[in-house]
Amino acid sequence: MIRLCRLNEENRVKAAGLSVKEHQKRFLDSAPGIIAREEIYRDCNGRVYVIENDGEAIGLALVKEFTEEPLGYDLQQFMIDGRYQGRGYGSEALKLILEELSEERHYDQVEVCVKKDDREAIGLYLKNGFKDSGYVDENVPDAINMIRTLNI
Amino acid sequence: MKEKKIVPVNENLISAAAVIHSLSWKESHRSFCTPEFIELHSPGHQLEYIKEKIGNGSDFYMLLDPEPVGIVSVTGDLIEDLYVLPDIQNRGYGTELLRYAIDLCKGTPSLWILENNDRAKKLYLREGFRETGRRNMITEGLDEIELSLESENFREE
Repeated sequence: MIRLCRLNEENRVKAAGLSVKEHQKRFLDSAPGIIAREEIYRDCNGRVYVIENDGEAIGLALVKEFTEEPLGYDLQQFMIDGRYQGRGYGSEALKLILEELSEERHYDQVEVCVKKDDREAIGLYLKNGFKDSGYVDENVPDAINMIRTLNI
Repeated sequence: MKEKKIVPVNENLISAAAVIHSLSWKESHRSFCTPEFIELHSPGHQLEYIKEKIGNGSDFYMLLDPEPVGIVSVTGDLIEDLYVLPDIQNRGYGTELLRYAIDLCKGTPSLWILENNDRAKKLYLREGFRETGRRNMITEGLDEIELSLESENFREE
């Protein structure tokens, strides 16, 4: 069974060893880099979720909050380890993340920045209710920003 | 009683609207205008500006939480005068006023920003506005640019 855990002393080492497939590596940071962001984004409520399947770490996701309007959650670095992909774990984990944020409810929307040619990721987000906002950050011209409104 | 609400700016609220307009305008223009020009935009000066605009058919609205926190004006499909008190920006008030103003427009909502206002630009782009390409020169080397809400707004189902 898939569940979400916060990064802790027990899962940290295992989480740091996770890795996507070779062709996906240019789309995100390495696992240690993702883990480091919890500290980097402390001021904007950054947290790393470890995705576990039957108690074993299989993926990571980072959520922080925007400090400028429009306010919302910023989902980044969402990944499932290459060895565990293709089994629907990504969708399952994404649903859990959205449920978690819906319950916490600091904001009513989640934004995710995805590289334009990362078709696997874009497909996953579209399937889970995200829409292309049409906004392209001038600093990241090769990525689109997808937004999903949290269910009320 | 203490809930957040948006109300039309009437005679009782117009002075508060002028104070918000003045404080926020000064803060957002301070980095690139002369001190004399900044000080010209006093609450009294902005009060006259708002009165004249209402006289010419614009509608002003104020967000109360429960104290006055921000304003916006709507003239047809044109959204202007979106100002939130400087100390309480980036808490969602501006976005709330913007979405309220968008709902009041019958056609395609549009607005103008100074081209050097990166923060405003990013806010409007993330809300679904796009540059139309129209621009006006304000002073030598500084243009205002028009943004309008895409007809295929991603928020609409």
